Amino acid sequence: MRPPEELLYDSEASLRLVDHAIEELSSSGAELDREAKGFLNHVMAQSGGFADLSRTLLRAYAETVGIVVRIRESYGMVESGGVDKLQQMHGRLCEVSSATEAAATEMLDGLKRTVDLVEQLDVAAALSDEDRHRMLASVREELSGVMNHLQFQDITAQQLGHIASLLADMRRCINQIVTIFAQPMITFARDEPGAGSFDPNASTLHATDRQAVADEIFAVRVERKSA
Amino acid sequence: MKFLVVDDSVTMRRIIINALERIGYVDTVEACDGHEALGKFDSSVGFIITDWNMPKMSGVEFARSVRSVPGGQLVPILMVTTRGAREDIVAAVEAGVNNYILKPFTPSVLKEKIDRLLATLSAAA
Repeated sequence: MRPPEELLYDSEASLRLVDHAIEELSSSGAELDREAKGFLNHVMAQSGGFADLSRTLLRAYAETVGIVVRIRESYGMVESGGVDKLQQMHGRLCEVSSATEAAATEMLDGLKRTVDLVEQLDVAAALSDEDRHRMLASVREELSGVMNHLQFQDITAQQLGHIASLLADMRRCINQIVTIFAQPMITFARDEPGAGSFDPNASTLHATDRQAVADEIFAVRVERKSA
Repeated sequence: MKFLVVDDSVTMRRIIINALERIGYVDTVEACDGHEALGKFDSSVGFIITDWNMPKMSGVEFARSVRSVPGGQLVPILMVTTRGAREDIVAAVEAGVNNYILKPFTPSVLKEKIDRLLATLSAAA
């Protein structure tokens, strides 16, 4: 591709020849129809004539190049800051959904078992003290288990906190793209989530395996201390 | 024995306190972050259960701070958190945390860790 300066020089030279030919044609007194005469007069009335056209085209070219660069920049931002984050958000939302459903199922199962125990207590005419205590202990155990399943709320809250932080990152990305073309128009009144208040990897999954890793590390530490 | 339970989630604080009551520890005090917990930490606190991710002051910073105040060197600190990466666990160890529970936990795991820490403490005394 030829550099724009060279193109400018060549096109300016060619268009000067066109200007010159028009001038000659105009002063030659040649027979021209009304439309052609009007066009020639219009061109000759412009300062610089056709020769200035190449400068105008160069300005248009420079502006077009600038726009293309900005479009490329914004594409890069969307690709690096947007697509990956959208995938992360999708994954996190799926986790929230499945964690919520799993916890709800566990709680419903626990409550169902509790209701069954209460019904057994209700219909049993003559329960021994031992049986009654055993069944009441089971009721307590089930209800405590139900309460324990509510831990999903803390974990999903952290997962949602992570999603909110990803959305805030995307907001910044969109603002940067808007700034490339014009003044940013987007304003958000809500505070962004505090970075330290959630774990981006919080999960209800594989708790036993993760606990085993923690126990192993602490066991090594205790061994080292006692050695 | 008084337990200081530190977590920014009200739900988690209630779950932990309920689990503690079920295993016989009814004297508890709560805080929603490390900063508030430091204000509530005194010589009457015999055991700390703390989360990691909290606003203002994290559980790790809190553990470090407790270890640096008079009377804070020996109090058992049990961290209950979602952070399961090896480097996080090592960081907790280095901050002075004595044991570590991954959320979601079961009350039996909580009891086991508390019993073990208290046994270690009484053996050292």
